[in-house]
Amino acid sequence: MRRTHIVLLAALCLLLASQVFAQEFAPVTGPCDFEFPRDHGPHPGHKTEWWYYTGALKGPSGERYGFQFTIFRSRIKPGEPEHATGWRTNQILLGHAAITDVSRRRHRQHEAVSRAALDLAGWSTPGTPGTAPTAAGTDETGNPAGKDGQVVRIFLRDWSLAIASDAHRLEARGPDFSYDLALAPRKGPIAHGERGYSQKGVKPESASCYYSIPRMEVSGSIQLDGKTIPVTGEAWMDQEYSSAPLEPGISGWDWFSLRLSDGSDLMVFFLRVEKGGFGPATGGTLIAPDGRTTRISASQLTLASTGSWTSPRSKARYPAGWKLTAPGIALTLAPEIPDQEMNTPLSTGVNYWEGLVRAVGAVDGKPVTGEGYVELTGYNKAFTARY
Amino acid sequence: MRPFLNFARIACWFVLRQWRLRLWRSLAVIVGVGLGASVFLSVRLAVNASVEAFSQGMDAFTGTASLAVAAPGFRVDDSLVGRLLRLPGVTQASPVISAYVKDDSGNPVRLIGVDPLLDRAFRGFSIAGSTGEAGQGVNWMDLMAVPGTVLLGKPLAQRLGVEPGGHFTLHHGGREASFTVLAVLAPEGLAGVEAGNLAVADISTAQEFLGLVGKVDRIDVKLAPGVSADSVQGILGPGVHAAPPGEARESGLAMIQAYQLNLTVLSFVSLFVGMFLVYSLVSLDAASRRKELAVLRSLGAGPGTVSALFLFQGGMLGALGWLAGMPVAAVFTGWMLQGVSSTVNNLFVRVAVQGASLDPREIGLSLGVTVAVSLLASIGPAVRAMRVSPREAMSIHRQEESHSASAGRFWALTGFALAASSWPVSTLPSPTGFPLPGYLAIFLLFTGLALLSPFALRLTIALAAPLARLGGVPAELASAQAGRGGNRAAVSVGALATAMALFLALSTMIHSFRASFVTWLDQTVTGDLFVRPANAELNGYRDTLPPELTEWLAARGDVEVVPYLRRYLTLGNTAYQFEATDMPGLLEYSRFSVLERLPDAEALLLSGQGVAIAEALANQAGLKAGDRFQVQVGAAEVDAVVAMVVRSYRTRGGEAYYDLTAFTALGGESGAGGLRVYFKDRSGDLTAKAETLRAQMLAEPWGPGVEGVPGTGLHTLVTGIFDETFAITGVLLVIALGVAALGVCVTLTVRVLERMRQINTLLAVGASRGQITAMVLWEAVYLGLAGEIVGVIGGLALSVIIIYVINRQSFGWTFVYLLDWRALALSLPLILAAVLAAGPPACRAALSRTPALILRER
Repeated sequence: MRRTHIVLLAALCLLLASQVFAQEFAPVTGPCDFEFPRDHGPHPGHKTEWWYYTGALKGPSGERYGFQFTIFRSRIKPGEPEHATGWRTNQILLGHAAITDVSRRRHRQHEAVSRAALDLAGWSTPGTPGTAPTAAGTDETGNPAGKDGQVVRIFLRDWSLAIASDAHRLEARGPDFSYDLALAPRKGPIAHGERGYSQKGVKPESASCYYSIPRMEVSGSIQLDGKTIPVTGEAWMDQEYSSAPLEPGISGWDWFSLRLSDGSDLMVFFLRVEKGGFGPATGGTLIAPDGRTTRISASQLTLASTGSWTSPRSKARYPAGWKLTAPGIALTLAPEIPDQEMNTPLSTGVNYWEGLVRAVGAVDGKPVTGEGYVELTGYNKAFTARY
Repeated sequence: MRPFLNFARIACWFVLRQWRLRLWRSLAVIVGVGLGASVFLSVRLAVNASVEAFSQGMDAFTGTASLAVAAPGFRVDDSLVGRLLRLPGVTQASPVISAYVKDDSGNPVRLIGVDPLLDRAFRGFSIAGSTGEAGQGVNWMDLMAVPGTVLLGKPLAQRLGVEPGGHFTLHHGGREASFTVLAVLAPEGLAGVEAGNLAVADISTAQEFLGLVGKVDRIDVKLAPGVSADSVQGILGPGVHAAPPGEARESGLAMIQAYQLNLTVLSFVSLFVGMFLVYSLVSLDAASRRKELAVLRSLGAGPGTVSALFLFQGGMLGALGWLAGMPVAAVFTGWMLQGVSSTVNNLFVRVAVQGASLDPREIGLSLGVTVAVSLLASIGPAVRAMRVSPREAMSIHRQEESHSASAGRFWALTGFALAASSWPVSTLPSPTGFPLPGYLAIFLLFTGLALLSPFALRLTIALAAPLARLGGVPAELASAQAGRGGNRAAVSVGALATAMALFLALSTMIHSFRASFVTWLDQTVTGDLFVRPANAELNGYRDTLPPELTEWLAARGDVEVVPYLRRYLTLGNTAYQFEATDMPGLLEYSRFSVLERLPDAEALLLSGQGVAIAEALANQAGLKAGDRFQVQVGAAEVDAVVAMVVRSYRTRGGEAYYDLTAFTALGGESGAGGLRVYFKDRSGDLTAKAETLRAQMLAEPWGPGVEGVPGTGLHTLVTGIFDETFAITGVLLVIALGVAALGVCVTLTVRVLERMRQINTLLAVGASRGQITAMVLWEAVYLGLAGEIVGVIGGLALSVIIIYVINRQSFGWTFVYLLDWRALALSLPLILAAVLAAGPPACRAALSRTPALILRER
């Protein structure tokens, strides 16, 4: 009898525990062990996720542009809602798109937000009914189908992202610019941290699953001021997902993604502490030309700003220019234009700086140049996203 | 600057000294003007409160949309939202659901469903007491994630007695659901809708509760600069339109503003009557101070200066009257607010009025109009004063104003011409809803009557000679004096005539209207029991009754059911109600009051080839029998001939009746938005039978979602609303009469004071105080009779203008002219009572001093 009671009690605890865990967001507590194309798609159990593309483009006359394309996914609550209508969902998609026109020294941005419901926003992943390719190289929507026909599609209003194993396609539209870009991966995917497990704080669950495709060849077109401009260039893609907020005391981060002329690529992030300095989870990844990766820890990095710029809109004062050192690396970075701030009141509610930078320095004593993107958050107030 | 200051100083001495000498008279005039000004201002403030409430509510609900995509009278598929968002040129799109539901106490609550993410670009809302987006521990995103959560406007939260985290129940269409209050809205954005008596839910919550899965009321759209609505219209199906969101606001405002204009003109009459008071007093002062004026002239004051003194006096009377009227206006406004907003709600659009605001423009307008009217009244005496010759300063005897017979004839003829021109002027074309020629005609009529007053007084005295013989010596003396009263006596007649004309005209209008209205109710709005979805009126009849209800009624076998489907649409800029109904049933159980028809009208209606339209719709849309009536009603393209134009007094636009079977065959909806139920056995107490049927119906499962009103109950309710609507009119009339009576009082007193020497001579030679009193009262009677005669003639003419011109142009309907004999019969004792009530102060003035003092030689 007593044993029966214990068994029943244990079963009850397990049942309750499963309910509790089922109602929490899925945590990241260890290596992510990515499998593609599956992990190009959304991870809906986690609270936050993004697909981040940044790159440098050139027009036919040599004019230079930077671009950003980001789709965020946010889960409002754990668990699945009961719903009778197609509007009921726990998932939101948000989009940020930007073009930096270097020659005209002008930065433009768009934002979009929608619940992932009806045909407003959503995704389909390999194996989703109705997504089989119908023609070699493309599917029925004209998106890349990949060698194996597996495509991840994410759409947000009239923005779209299609990811196949060897081709990506981005489309973003807004009142004063739009772009349609095809990207071909040339390196990666590269898992950061420990097989993708990238810690962002002291606690084990303060982490994300994070991979990058650091080099992608870009072709396509941008529409600016009514003109269509064919462009080519290089881009960097990040996909990251997590369920943990920033740990207390962290006000924001400075994140760098750089493609260097010797074929190597560098990703570093500095978690800024409110009282000054950087948190211990600061780190990065150096990717060799052959794709081998070297993890970089906080103690191996230094960062100093060489200038600043104050936004007339948010009044935030951002660093504008850096000296960055990592093992064997010393770089001086400068933004192509100072004003590359993103103001996103309709979507994330966050003001941040995301801009095209150029680099000059040395790797293992050999001179290099480079280009890339820098992201600076938490400079007008401590970073807290709306969703 | 110095000459101005000098003049101001002299003017103040000139005016204030006289007022001190004639304190009570001056105060009476100030009170009269103040009453008129207070009525004018309070009416405008009360109606403005409704206009403001409606505008603010509409603006808060409309937000910053460039277009609203809607299917008038219907709902749109929510799948359009995604398609619109992908259109080039569309920057934002947001679905909206809005419906009136009921709380546990049966009070209406406005439930609005939006997508909080998409709606951010249009309206926005925030949570009370929050810093930034999320309140203290409140995540408004739970609106989307948690079914049954709402944000409440503060007034509604207080009314329901709930706080964040609390629960309450709402009812709609036979369903009830418990809702959780996520938070209370801060007073901005959406919280301005319905004055905060609203609940905001996620679009999914609203769809689930209202049973509108897949549907929304409208989709608000923002376009990129330079993009036209045509780019959106291209993807919309039949019956769905993209239109500027302000259209509904503008048509609603136009209805309220037409009502505001009517009330403003009515309230202006009190000011107009007060003008007579100002004229009387300024005229008296100008006449009594001729010697003083002559001295001023001989000392160098020019004619302009002299006339300016009296204009200044008139202006001061107006300004002080306005000032005195402001506290009264505050009281009147508070009283009228309820009545006016109730009328607007019943007749035009739904408004939630919280209070009247002191609009500086209205205050300035009322001050300007009051002073302008007073100045206008002072022009005549000022002109006469400026003609005083300096030689009169040398004269021993007091000069009197000369009244030439030819001048009197001239003004009488002018008055007749103005009054006679009122009818042709009233028939001039005018913009819809604003009968400006009609109001101009009223002004011409009143001005004409005023100018005819002296002639009318003389005529009355001549005609009342037998009466004078009946009254003896006092009556004969009074008739002689009244005839010599000149313009000042005639002013009282003018004031009385104006008030009396308005009384008779409005009484006749209301009497005629009510008679036609009741006839329409009895003949056309027939039914032993009226059944419709709960809150049908508030929700624009967009919901249909459960088909089980119609089947249940049909299965009973003791009733005939006439179903109808009603949709609120627009024809061009004219709002109207399209009603698809069982035409054979309607024609069998109801009768139209037909104004014009085609020979085979009934056949056309029964076959679905014809439509019967209300007079209001016909007048406002410019339609007549034989014209084509082509409208898109949802999926149905209706193309029919106007078979008949009928009398109808439905509010919120006239109606168009079309056969329901034909409508369904064209692809229109087949459900019933309402039912008229008739008992086959017409014997017995039909009301009791209807009550029983109603109770049985409400006990069925669909009961909580429907309303049933017995026919007699509906008639009583509607007639009560009708009477309540005109309550304000009655009050304005009484005030106008009161001001006129005040005018008579002032005139009589002035007349007595002017003749103090003569009256006391009579006393000295043996007349009794009673005879003097009788003489004064008889003079009042003559003034009253003259006012009655002119007032009746003017009232009859005015009633014709109001019924056949003003009402038709303002609201589109006419009614059968029925003279209110009771009002006519009441007018004479009323006017006599008013003038006799004005008599005692004059009598007291006549007998206040001993003859010896008065007759003492100076």
